[in-house]
Amino acid sequence: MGRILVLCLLVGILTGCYDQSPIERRALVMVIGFDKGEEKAVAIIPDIHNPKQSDANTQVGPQATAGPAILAPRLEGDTIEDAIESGKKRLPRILDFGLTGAIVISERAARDGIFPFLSWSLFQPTVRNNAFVMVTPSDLQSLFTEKAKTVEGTQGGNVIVSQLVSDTKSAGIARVHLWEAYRTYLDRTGCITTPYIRLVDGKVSYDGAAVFHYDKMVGRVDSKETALMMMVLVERTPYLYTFHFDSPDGGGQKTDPQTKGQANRRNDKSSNVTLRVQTVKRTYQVERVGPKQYSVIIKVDMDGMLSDANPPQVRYSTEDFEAMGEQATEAMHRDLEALMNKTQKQMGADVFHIGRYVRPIDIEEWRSMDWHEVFPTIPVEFEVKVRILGATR
Amino acid sequence: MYKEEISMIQIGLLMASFFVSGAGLYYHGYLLQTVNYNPFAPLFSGAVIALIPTVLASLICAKFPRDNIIGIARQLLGRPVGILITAPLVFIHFALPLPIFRIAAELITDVHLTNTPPIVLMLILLTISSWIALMGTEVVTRTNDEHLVIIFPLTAIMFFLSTSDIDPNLARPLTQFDFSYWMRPEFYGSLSVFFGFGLALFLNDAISHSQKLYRILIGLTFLGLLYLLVTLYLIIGTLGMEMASSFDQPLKVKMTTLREMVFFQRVDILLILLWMFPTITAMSGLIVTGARAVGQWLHLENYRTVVLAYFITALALRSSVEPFQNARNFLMYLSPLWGGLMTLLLLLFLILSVMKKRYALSQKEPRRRNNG
Repeated sequence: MGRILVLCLLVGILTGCYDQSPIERRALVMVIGFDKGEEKAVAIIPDIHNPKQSDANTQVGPQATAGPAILAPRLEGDTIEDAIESGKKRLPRILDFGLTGAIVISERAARDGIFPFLSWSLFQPTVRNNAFVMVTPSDLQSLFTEKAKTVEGTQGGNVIVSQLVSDTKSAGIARVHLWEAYRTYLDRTGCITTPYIRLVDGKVSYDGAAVFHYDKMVGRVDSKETALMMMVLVERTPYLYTFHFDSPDGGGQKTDPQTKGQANRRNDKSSNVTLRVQTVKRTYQVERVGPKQYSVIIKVDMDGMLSDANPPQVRYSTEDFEAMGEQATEAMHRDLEALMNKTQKQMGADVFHIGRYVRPIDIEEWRSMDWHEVFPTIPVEFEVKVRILGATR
Repeated sequence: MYKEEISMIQIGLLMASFFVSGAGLYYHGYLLQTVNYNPFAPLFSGAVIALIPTVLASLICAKFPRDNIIGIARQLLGRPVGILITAPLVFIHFALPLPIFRIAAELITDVHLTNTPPIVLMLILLTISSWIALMGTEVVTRTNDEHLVIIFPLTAIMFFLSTSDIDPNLARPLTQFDFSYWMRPEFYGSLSVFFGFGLALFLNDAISHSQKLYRILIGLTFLGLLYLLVTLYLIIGTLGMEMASSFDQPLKVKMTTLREMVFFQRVDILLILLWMFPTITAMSGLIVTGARAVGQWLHLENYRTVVLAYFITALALRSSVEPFQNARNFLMYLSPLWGGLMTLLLLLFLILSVMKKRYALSQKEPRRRNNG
């Protein structure tokens, strides 16, 4: 009986055999690129890192046998699976998506709809649900290979992933995970926004965010607008906001009596100033005013200080800070209205996810309406209050 | 009949394993498919329904200390009827591990061993579970204790880490209800997560404090409800109702949204694998109680041969649950049967025991009068 038991338990070892795959037979995909196909319906561009060229490779062979550091073949097919299968003719390796940190979709594919890519990735067992999603107008093969580098020399898709993983604070990056994008598409309580990246002169840069209506990209907001959007949406801080300040005492160039006789130091109070917002409190007031009619007030209260970037020799008075707060409030109100006008009226996109607050008001009505169609008709107002507590020096 | 001793706490921990395993594997999948919004209503309704047989089980255990459901049935109904009436319950104890292990195998295949056929993983889980059952009730309960010591702190850490993704608005509305769940078989299928107390009915003869068992059975049902509530909130607060209801195992999907921590690249997999521990011991509990019951019927000195016979039979029947949907549907229809059968049996036993007591009293009364 004991032997039978031991034999039965040995079955456990079989799992290793089933999933066993030597490292040299695997192609480790760090980033997945999706594009429209040139000859077939879709193209997948895997960003494959060559382990032979890795810094961790301690058994360095002859350079001639090492191959390129990154491979980014363009695999085309009628479906994504078909594209991967067809790729085996050129690259007889198992595409291993276990380390995939980001999914980059070309802009032209994104304008046709990204749901098939999101859906495939989410249900692909090895792709992590917390991979980042982003859109690019640049050529994906160039973006993933040595043609794209950072200052210190990191290259390929890793640039994108490492930046997103390490930089969780920047308001200017509309980070979105695969599962978040998928959820937003399904529940329609807002619109999908993803980082918009491009390759300029061999450098990868973030250029605002791509905005979607349903699953189709309909436009873009620039970096400043993205930062404003993220600050309101997820209360992301620190947030740097630059606006023009007109001093109540007229500003201008005044000579400080203590500096008389010294070099003519500038003392411009009226100038562009950068506010470092430290705390943001955002509340949505959503009311149902009729069948499928809602009114929305978004209240944004924030505290901040003048950033280090401002000229330190300028001495602001308490009155100056109060006036600065009022002017920052007005400027931010203007910017938020302009952003809302652009996204709501021109793109029909609910970038502030107001739908999340409308949905629970009357769930049956919500289920009977298409929020993406109703949202452009909803009046949205902003109530902004900026308090400037002082200067950081 | 069998000289085994387990404590009340161990019964409670076996019930806890039922909750942890059920929440990870199938409960939320069923629950979220029963309504279009507000899944908290079916959760609380299910708990209230499950509380009825739990209270009945507490009463029966207290009424018949040091006896289990097999002995109680024999005592109240005689041997042949007793066997006949408890046989379906024993069958359910033997049948449940198959679909649950198949569902667990799907989870492992989904997140970790993607190329391994789920049936292989299912058989491995079945083998381990049967092996533990082979060593007896006390080993099952002790193994379960040790597993839970590992599971609870890790689960708490994982849940804490995943709170940052939650948006309470996605869990709303809380005051509008979709009562269509009463008509959905998934709702009744989900109830099996509450039926861990059934083990106590079979192991009551090994517990020395049957009169106090109600504290554990009812207390654990409330704790289990709390665990299900927390996990449900984590799921819909993160994934939203629309997304969560599109998965059979939404808690798994929720856990895969965890961000990587320090050197753990796939920390979510760790938790998912940890769910296998309580699943194995909970199923061992079902197998061992089924085997004990058969041993009692056949007056076997050692019920281990029954476990072996079960293992071989289960191997032969594995193909019946090989397609995932078969396993899911099998569990869905077996669960209400399990709960319903337990409720009916417990009610019957309670009525019979009261009637017997009255009959015994009425027999004594005339004698006293005659004597007087």
